[in-house]
Amino acid sequence: MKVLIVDDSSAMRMIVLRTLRQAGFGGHDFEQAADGAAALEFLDANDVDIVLADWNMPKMTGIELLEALREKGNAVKFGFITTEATAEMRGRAGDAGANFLIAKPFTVEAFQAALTPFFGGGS
Amino acid sequence: MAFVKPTVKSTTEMLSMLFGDGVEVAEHTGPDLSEAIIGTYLRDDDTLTGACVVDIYLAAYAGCAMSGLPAGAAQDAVKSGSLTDVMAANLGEVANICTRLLMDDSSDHLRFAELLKPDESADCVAALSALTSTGFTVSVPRYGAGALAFYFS
Repeated sequence: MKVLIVDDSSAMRMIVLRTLRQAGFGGHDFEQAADGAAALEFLDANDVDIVLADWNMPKMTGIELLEALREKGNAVKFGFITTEATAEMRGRAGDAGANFLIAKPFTVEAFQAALTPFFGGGS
Repeated sequence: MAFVKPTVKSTTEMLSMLFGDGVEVAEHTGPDLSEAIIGTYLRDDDTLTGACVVDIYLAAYAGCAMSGLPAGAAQDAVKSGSLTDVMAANLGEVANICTRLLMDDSSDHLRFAELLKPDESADCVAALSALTSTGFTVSVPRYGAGALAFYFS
C-alpha cells in the first residue's frame, strides 16, 4: 500500500512513521507532505491508498484537504491524526468523509485499533 | 469554566506519550512570563484565550526530545538562550498537542497559534496575566527539568 503522511511538523511525521512500524505496519510505501496544499498536489499526481493527516496546518488544513478530495471524487481512505479529538470534531471529520480519527498523542495500540481494518493484520 | 484545568496526572500522561517513560511532573510556580517562551492559544474567532508557557530549560529539552536530538544540543540552547529552528518547530508541536489538556467535549475550543520569544511577547504577557494559570516542573528523561505553565480563561 502507498501511504501519505501529512503534517506540518517534521518531528510528528517521523513519530507517525515510527509508530506505524511499531504497530506492525512497516512494510508499505510511505510518502510525506508538510501541509494540505502539498498533499493535494501529490494526490492529484499519484495513486495513494491511504492518507494520514493532521487537522491544523498552514496553507490548507486537513479538513479542507479532505473536502477538496471528496469534491474531486477522490475516495482515497483518509484518517486524521490530530489534537482535534472532541466529539464535535470527530463528527465534522466523519461528515466530511474521514474513515477514522486518531487522537494525538497516540499509542501503538491506538494505531493498531484504528488501522488494522485498512492495513490488515500488520506486516 | 470555559476550559479544563490541566492536572499533574493529565500532564504527566500527555508528556509521557511524547517523551517516553520516566517523565516526572509536580505542581510548582510556573515560569516568569517576561522571560518565558509562550505558545499562544486562540479561540475560533482568533482571540487570545490561553497559552502554554515554558522556560528555556523545558523549551530546549522538549524541543530536543521530540526528535531525539543529543542532550548536548539542549544544553547549548540553554546556554545561548535561544532554540534552533528544529527545536522551535518541535516545541510548537508540543504546545499544539498540549491543547488537548485544556479541552473536553463540553469545553470551548482553542487551537495553538504561534511561539513567542521573550522579546516578542509584551502584549501577550499583559493579556495572559489576567487569566487563570497552573504551573508545574517537568523532568524530561535523558535531558533535565524545567518549568511549565498553562494559562486559560
